[in-house]
Amino acid sequence: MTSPAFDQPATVDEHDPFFDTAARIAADIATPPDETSRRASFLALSGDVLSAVAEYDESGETFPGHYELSRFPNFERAVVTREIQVIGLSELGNLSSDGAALVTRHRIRSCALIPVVSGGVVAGVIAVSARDEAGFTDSQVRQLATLAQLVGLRVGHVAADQALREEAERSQGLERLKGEFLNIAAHELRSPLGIINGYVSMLLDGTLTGADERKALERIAEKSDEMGRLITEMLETARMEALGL
Amino acid sequence: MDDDVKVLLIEDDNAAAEMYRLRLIADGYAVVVADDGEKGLALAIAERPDFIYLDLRLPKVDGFEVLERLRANPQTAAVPVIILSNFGEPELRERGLKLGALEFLVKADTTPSRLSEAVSRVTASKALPSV
Repeated sequence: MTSPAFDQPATVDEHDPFFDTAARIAADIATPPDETSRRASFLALSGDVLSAVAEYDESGETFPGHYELSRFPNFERAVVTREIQVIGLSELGNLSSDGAALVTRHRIRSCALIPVVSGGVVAGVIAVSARDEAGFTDSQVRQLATLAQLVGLRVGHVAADQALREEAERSQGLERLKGEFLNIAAHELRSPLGIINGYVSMLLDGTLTGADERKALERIAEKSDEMGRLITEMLETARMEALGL
Repeated sequence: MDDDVKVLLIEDDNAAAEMYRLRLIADGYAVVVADDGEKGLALAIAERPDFIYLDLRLPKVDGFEVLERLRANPQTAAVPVIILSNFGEPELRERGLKLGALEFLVKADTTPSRLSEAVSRVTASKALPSV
């Protein structure tokens, strides 16, 4: 199914508590027994920037929150290749200067970046970082990948929901417009009809004679024409709407 | 007997104004027509009409404001006003009557004779106490 909402990364609702829970679960999955909890976050992709939507960090340390892909090549690699990036102790020496600064400041010894894909498009990255030196096991990485799939489904589900809601609002708006159109159309038609009725009633009861009679007939003809034009316009408008123009 | 009764018709739709004017004249009233709210207010003072028909959607000054200003001016405050509107929505009706209009007529339902009857009804009831 190709819905316009899926052609670009779906907008991630940063207040969705699902992502907080996901971050906590990611930290739980990734923390080896007997170690203090690792840090995990879900970063949503918008343009070339990953921004933290949910973070779990028992140490309470504050991270930048925004990561430009051009300054953090490992993040960029995860987004572009859609492959999980595990950066271990041995790779820490090859980081970009921004990456190295971050890792040093927060004493990070290793990290795993798991792309989150939704509707065929990368919606963000789950990032887990360790201050211990135990690294990441295959089992942890597999479980993190499963979690990333769940997060991706959530993003897609919320986007589809939003698209449905917007569609419903649009059609409600259309209905309202249709109602207003009918209302205006009725008023527009009633005003010449009122003149026609008025003159006809005066012709019938003999109020008008001579030149006035002639004038009344001219008015009636004029107002009939006006009604005919209005009806043509209204039908044209209705036809264009039916064609979706 | 109606020769001295003067009706001011504040109405921007020429066809409607002309139609009602013909009927009112046929019934023996003197008729003055104003095609916007501003002229209507001026004529209400200059012509001292006994009776005013007031459209609501008017150029320059809309009908409700005309009514308010007629009521605020001691020279015109007592002149009976009947609203003659294209729209019959209850909110409009309520607002018009609250501002002091005697009646609220919807044009599409108001034949010239019904309109003219309203004048005789009001002038007759006004005349009663003095009889």
